[in-house]
Amino acid sequence: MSHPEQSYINLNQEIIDGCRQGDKDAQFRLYKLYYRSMYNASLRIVKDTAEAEDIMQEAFLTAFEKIGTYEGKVSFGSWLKRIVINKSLDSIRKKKIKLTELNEETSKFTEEIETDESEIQYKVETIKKAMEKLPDGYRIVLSMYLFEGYDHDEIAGVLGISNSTSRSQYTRAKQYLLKLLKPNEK
Amino acid sequence: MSELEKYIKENKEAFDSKPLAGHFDRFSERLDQLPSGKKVSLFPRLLKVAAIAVLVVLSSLWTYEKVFQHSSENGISLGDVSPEYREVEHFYKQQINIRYDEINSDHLFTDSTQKRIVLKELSEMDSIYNCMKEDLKTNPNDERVINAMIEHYRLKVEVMNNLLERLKKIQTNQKQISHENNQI
Repeated sequence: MSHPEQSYINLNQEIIDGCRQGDKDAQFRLYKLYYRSMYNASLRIVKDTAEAEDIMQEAFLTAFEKIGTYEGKVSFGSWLKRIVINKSLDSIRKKKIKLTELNEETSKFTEEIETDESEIQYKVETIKKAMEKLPDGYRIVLSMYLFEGYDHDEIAGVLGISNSTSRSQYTRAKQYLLKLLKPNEK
Repeated sequence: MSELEKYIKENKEAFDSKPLAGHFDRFSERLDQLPSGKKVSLFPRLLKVAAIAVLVVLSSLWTYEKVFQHSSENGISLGDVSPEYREVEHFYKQQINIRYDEINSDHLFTDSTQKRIVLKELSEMDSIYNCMKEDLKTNPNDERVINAMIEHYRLKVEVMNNLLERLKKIQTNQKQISHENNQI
């Protein structure tokens, strides 16, 4: 199955090898390298800082435990992020939020005309706040596409939806966000 | 790409938040609670087991080769087939050795070149047997080869018997002649 040419050469291969042997120092060094992006990937999904930290740390421990299954087909960061995202999704699913329900709830926005972006003055903080107001389903697709760099095939795979659903969900999420960002809507 | 997408892409880092202070300590604590590399070391441990298994197999193969070296190098002799055949082979070898001793004893041959030729011919019979040993190695337990081997031993004993008989006859004849000569 695994062809040598497919294997990914990681910049921090020695640290990863150290983690394979269960070396605690290597594990901590790996945490220092990746905690920031992993924490934010989780936070954008679960929205709660304490929960995001817990999930992020839990994901590291899971990764160390299952490092034998990491085949090096993708970068270690991508492999770890997948664990973080899956754990974050599990967490919000446990709160009985169904991603599909959100489609109908927010579908009214799709019929409206597109927001004129020139009216909006973008600021990091306002976008972050607006994103927190997005329904979970929208926020997740938007975060994964814009921040984690997943394509629609990958998002579809993680969420168990079709590629076209991911695309339409993203378009709606973006329109919703723009609407929230419009000065008169605040 | 819309303005929004462009803006987020260009300012991605700025969107990141920091975890609450003390998260390093909290993680360090959780890391220490991890069963010290129990499952993590499973892979190297499997490798160790595999390495030991390979060593055991190799050393037993080596021992096997050493113990049965004579057979694996020069084929399988009759005695290697089974204990019964070992007895048969032992019997014939004994018979053959007794006859060799007789031939080698000085009193039968007056001519040493004659003796050398006889011994050479007898040892040529052994080369046929060595070929059969090779055959038995390639065709283990082939009854035709085993029977041919027994036949070889039987034949060799018979040939040696004939030889000794004639030699003895010659000897007695010579004795008679010399005796007669003495009488004359």
